[in-house]
Amino acid sequence: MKNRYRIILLGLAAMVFAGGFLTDSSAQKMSRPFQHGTSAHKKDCNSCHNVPTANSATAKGYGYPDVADYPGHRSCTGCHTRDFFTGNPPAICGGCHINPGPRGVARLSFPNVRHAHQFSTIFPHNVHQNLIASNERGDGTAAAHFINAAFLSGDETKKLVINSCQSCHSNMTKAPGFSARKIRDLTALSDPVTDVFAAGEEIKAAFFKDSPSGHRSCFTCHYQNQKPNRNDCAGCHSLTSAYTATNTVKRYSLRFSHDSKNHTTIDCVNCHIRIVQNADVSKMKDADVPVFACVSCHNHSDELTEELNKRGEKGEANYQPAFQCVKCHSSAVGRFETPPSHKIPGYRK
Amino acid sequence: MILIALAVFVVTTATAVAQQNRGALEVNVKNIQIDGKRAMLPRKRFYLFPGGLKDNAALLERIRGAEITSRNCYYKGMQASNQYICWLQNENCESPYCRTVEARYLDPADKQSVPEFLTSYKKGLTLFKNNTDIARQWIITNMPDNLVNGYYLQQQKLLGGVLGGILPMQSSMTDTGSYRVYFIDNPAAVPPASKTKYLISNILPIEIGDKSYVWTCEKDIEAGKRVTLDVSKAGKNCEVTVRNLRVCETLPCEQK
Repeated sequence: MKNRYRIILLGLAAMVFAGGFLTDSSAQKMSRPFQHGTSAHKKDCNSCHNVPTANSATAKGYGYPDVADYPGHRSCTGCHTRDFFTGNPPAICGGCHINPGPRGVARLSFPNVRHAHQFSTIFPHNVHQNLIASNERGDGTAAAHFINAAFLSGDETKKLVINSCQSCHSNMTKAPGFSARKIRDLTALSDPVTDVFAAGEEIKAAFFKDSPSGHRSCFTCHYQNQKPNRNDCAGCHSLTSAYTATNTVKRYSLRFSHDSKNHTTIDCVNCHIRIVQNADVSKMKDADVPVFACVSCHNHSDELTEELNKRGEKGEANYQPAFQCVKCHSSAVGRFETPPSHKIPGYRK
Repeated sequence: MILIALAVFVVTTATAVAQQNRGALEVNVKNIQIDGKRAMLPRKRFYLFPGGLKDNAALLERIRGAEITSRNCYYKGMQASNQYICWLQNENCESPYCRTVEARYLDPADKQSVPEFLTSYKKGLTLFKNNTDIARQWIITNMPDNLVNGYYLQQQKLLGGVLGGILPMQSSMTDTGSYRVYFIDNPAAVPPASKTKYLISNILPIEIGDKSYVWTCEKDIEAGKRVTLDVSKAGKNCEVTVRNLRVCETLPCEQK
């Protein structure tokens, strides 16, 4: 009997002892991606990331010097050596490798698009406008500023390119995901209906402008000398709570085309009034293009006033209180009551 | 429920009223003439302040006293080559951010080749492992700061000095083509109350020829209205500060 208890006790002790070795480490417990915000990880970025990585300028990378790969093992082994030998395969390897193991060199794509973003980007728009987008051709012909992206064109030997907003923003060649921005403070006057687009006015790629998504546009100037440079990550990136990045363009006016005839002949700053005024575009509360900018051209004689009249004045022949504004908006926005900004009569010419 | 509805009504009404208490200002600088020629003022930043010319006497005094170093003098002071100064001048550029560097400016055999670009290009070839495209397209990154940001930083320092701690309500840029600048949603008195006076100025002297110009104007803004200030017709509502610039002779530039 005593022996049986001894055996059980010894078995339990052995299990506890072995369990000590099997306990998940902090890295293993994390089924989530590498957390830059963990206090132990808040180090100088260069202590892990090399800029540029060895692969970045090759065909497998981006074709220009950048951070295009995960940090090497040495970045982890200082604290996580044990994790490299725990588990089969070790859980820590799955953070970077597709098939963890001695021969599993292949790594996941970098950056891993399935992972939540942990950094926001700091970009003072007004400073860059002062410096880059404040120029025009000497002969005054660059009225539109819609020219080929300055830093991306191939043969520039014959073509003079004046840098402008277009250095970073050019017409999209492939339609992005898009949706209407949510209306928060207004009441819906009717239910949403299926949007109808006239022939030739369907939403297409050229309705939208793209934005830099990598370092290329930045490194053109900020790689080496101009601060913040490639080694000063915090100059442009700040830690934030994790968020899922989306490429969906959200607009109040989904029917607006950057590519329409009359829009390509005017300067970006004619409409993007608030962007010119703001250091941090991401913190703008209102529409970056106020309706004021629209009515500068689309004034009283135009559909906008007709639409407002249908909404606003009961004496109008075509008064329809629940009329959905369709000239600029999709039903998701046009079915809401008219916002105060649209009602200021003097804002119209 | 009634209370919530009332609260929503109050908030909505307050927002609507707040919107109605605002006015817009369009500043037009298209028709300004200097020495019989139209002054081109594209992409120039203008600032908006509360009050009129009298209310901002101290600011006006600082504007009158502000002296800029001309573009040529700045770059000459930085020992920039004549070719670099000419490259900037040819397209009325204040910095190399202005335009792309075409290949001919990197060709030592070309008379217009710019030594600063060549030096930077060579550094780029080393840094970017002989990738000629990157070395050329990223040429600015290897140039010294004083030839890239220096002129802008000098202007920003002057701007800070002239403002003297005053924070403009808004700043905005003129466009190319129509040469207008907009200030929207400015608080304005509702009639029959008197109109609200604002001051508009480019603060930083704009270099035209061998002189510099600052336009400082006042304009009344009315609630719910869009008013236009044509600087060329503003008369006594505008003060134009003109200063002679120190001339720094440079060698003649080759044609474009």
